[in-house]
Amino acid sequence: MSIFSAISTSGTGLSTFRTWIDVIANNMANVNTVKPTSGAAFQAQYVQAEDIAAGGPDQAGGGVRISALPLSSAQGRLTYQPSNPLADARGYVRLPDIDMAEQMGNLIMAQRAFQANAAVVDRARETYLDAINIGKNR
Amino acid sequence: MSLPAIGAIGAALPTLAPTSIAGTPDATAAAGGSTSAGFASMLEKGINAVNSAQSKADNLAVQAATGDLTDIHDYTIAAAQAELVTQLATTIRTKGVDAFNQIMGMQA
Repeated sequence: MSIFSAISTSGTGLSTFRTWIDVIANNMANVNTVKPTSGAAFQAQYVQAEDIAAGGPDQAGGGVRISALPLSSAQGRLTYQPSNPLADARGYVRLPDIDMAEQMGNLIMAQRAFQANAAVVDRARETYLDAINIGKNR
Repeated sequence: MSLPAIGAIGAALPTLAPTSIAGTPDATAAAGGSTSAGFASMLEKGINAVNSAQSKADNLAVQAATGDLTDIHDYTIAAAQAELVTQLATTIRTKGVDAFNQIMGMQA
């Protein structure tokens, strides 16, 4: 633990939730990406986070980090679109298996969590300043 | 002349964790090798920590200007930490000088 550790700990949260928002943005952008049935469908990414362990039993943990970005199923949704140039002989294409409502829900959670961590940074800064200013008003 | 009371104030000077930004000179680590406990060396260590925090913030500011910054909060957090470390160091310096002046002003 270094000095002003609450600020850097919240920073790891900010980085994680920024990545989550990035991932959701990519998933949303590809919601209509069509792939031929010969290959995999567009696979939505998910964020898998893990805690940064504390240095000892009497120390606060170090925050959070992303351990992996797992992908959703490569199967996708087999959809009948015979007029699509990518359609196979039977007229099927693969659409990504992305649930818009779920992604929007995740987006709100990521945004709120980001805001919460930003609030912690501000509050920690104020607190540290209070500590520095002890004894100034003599 | 050694003033243990002032040395104790110097011992409270900040140390930052080594910076993770590539290319940033790690002043904290360089200063950590010093073993003498005088107020001057303590102050020097503290100033080096301030320097390293500020150069980290400077580096990130350049990255922001050139568009290489991926995380906006990396810069704002580094700037906040540099501000806090600077304030802490100047506060401790003021307290040390105050203590010295009070001792110098002693009269029988």
